[in-house]
Amino acid sequence: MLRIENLTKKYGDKCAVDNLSLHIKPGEMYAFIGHNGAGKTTTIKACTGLLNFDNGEIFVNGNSIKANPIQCKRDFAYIPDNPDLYEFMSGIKYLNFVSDIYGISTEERNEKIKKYGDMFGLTDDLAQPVSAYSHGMKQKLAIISALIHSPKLLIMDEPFVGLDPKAAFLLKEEMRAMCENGCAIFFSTHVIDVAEKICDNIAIIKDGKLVVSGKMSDVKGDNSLESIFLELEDKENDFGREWDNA
Amino acid sequence: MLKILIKSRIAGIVHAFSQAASKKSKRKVSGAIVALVALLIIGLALFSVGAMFWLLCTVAQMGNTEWAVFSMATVYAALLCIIGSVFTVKTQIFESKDNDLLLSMPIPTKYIFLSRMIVLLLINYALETLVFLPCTVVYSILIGLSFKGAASLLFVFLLLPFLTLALSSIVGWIISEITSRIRHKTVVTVALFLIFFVAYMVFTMSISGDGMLFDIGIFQSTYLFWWSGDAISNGNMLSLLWFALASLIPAAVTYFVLDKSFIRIITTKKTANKIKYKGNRTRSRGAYFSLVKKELLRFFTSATYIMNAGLGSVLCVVLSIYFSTLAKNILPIVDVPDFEWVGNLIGPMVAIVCAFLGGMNFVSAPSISLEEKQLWILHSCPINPKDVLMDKLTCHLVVCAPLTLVSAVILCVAFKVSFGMSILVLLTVFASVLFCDYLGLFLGLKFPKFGWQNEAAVVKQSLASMIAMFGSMVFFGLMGFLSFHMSKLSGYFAIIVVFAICAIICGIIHIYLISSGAKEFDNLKK
Repeated sequence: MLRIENLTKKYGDKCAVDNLSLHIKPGEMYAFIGHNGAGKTTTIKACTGLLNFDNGEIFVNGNSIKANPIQCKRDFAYIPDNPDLYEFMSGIKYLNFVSDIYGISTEERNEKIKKYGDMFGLTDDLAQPVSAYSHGMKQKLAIISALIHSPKLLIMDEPFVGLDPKAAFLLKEEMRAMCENGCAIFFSTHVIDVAEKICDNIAIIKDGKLVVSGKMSDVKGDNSLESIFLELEDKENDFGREWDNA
Repeated sequence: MLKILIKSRIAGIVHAFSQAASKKSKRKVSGAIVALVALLIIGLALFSVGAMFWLLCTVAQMGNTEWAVFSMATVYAALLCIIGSVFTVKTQIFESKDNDLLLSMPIPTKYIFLSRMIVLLLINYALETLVFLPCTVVYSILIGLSFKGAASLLFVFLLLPFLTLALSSIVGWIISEITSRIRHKTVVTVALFLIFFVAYMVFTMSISGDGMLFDIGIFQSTYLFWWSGDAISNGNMLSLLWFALASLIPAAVTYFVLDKSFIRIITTKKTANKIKYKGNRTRSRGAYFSLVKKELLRFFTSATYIMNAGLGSVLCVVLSIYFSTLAKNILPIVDVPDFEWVGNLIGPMVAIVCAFLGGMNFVSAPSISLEEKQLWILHSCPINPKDVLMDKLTCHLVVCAPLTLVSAVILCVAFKVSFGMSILVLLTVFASVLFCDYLGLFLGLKFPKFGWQNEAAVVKQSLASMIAMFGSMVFFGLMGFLSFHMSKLSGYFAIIVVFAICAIICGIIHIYLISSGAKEFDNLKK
């Protein structure tokens, strides 16, 4: 569903993402972890067409994000880490706007708004302007707007930040259900426990390079994901120091 | 500490003016153009105020009423300061975004309040200078100032902003109190702005006597203005004392009251009643319709956007009604032998006047920069960038075309323009609205202003907005000059030429926007 091939993105002389390749199949849930500034958001933004990249290619459902962006965007939904939504709209107007863009029928949108609004406890606040929403409420609205058009691929940048425990639990449940229905999910997170508990696959990025990726069980073996992550970080640091000394 | 607070506030204001584009190289160029345009505007303002006072001094000299010149200057400066700072008071004191941050720091509240008042006082001095500087220069040349007069002038100049700031603080506080408690903030703010504007117009008209430049009686009966004029022109120290008391006492009382209640005002959460969503049924619309609706919502929910970029249409109707009252004086000229050519002029001039006034609208110019923080929505949704640009053009058209066309109809009827010519006038006015629309969007795309904190920085101070407004006015001024000369041959020919020029420019920009422009928009912030 999402194929990243040799993705390279530079900011001036700094290589933010270096020759990164990943393949996420339908029904797979892929967690993307790494330290701050590792290149997670850059990769995610490149996948969603929000950022141009220097080399490589990204395919969504077989379509190139460069050559056929509109078709790609029909197939995925994106939730940024800090959703800046249209503050001049009410929650319901925003959801209708997104529904109109994706051509969702009246019946379908009403049903989904009711379902997800109730699920995340946002229904009562949908008539309020987005400017009156808290960070968590905005995050919930962004999640509902992403789920409303039943995407084949869900790309999320730190989706659990700002969510209350109940909403975080419900989102994880929904993510599982979506995967069972064939949706591919690719998301970045700093919460290693979440990645370990709900994902089948994991990719660890460090300084723009993919350190390891694959099945969760293969990557972590009998260890905890946290210890593997820290071990990889340290190994890379030691290697870097040796390289510098040499 | 106070110095740091003042410096940070001034830095914030300067930053809002200086940031102009997303790229550093572009920022330098557009920053220079913004500075140039700003200087041009200030120069023009000083020149026009100077010209007005030149006339006033001449009339005052003839009637031995020299004192009235500075009375008039005080009136204009006071009005300019109050209108110019009342909404700044609201945003800088009562609704400032850094209130919470500063209150959480170990800074005495009185310093926070005082730093804001000092910055506002400086803004008032800057506005006051626009009136007092040309007035003083002209007065010194034509009439001359005594030593006592010059000293009084300095004191009046220093004292007046205390009074205007006191008044604008009270009004700003009232506006802030009202708008924080109601849901339709934009409607109330725009309505209050219009009330201020109308009050200003009524006041300035009321001080103009019948056929005279000003009515002396009004100044003599309004002590404050009389005192300032008397102190400066006649060197009357008693008048200066009264003026000082009249300025400082209200300022001190206002400062004391607001300082004492500052913390309560900004920490009391006032909210409008919460509306509960009742599961209203929704209706699906096309993507294009939804994009236009979004754009219109953005416009109609922002008082800053409406007041700065869209009120030209309202002004256009008001002024066309005023101009239509002049028709009875102008139409008889057509019947005067050797002046028949004036008849040819009327149609094209009606179109040019409407186009010129419509040029004050620049809804499309800031529309791209205003997307900044939400660009990710448009960029991650399956929307063709071309459609986004077209929806911005449609929004400008929907906001500006109806009232500008109504103005054209009013003038056509008042000036008895023939049916055929009226159709051409309406077509030309529509083309002129399109011209402003396309020009604004083109400039908005070429000079986007990102990194803003307050939308006023984009709507009022961006290069795109400035050039769109003044560029349109200069363009229609040139069209007016051209059609004036062409009308001597044929009014129809003149108006068709203006229409054709507007249409061709729109066509060129349209082709650009749907090709390279769409790609540029798609690459914004990437």
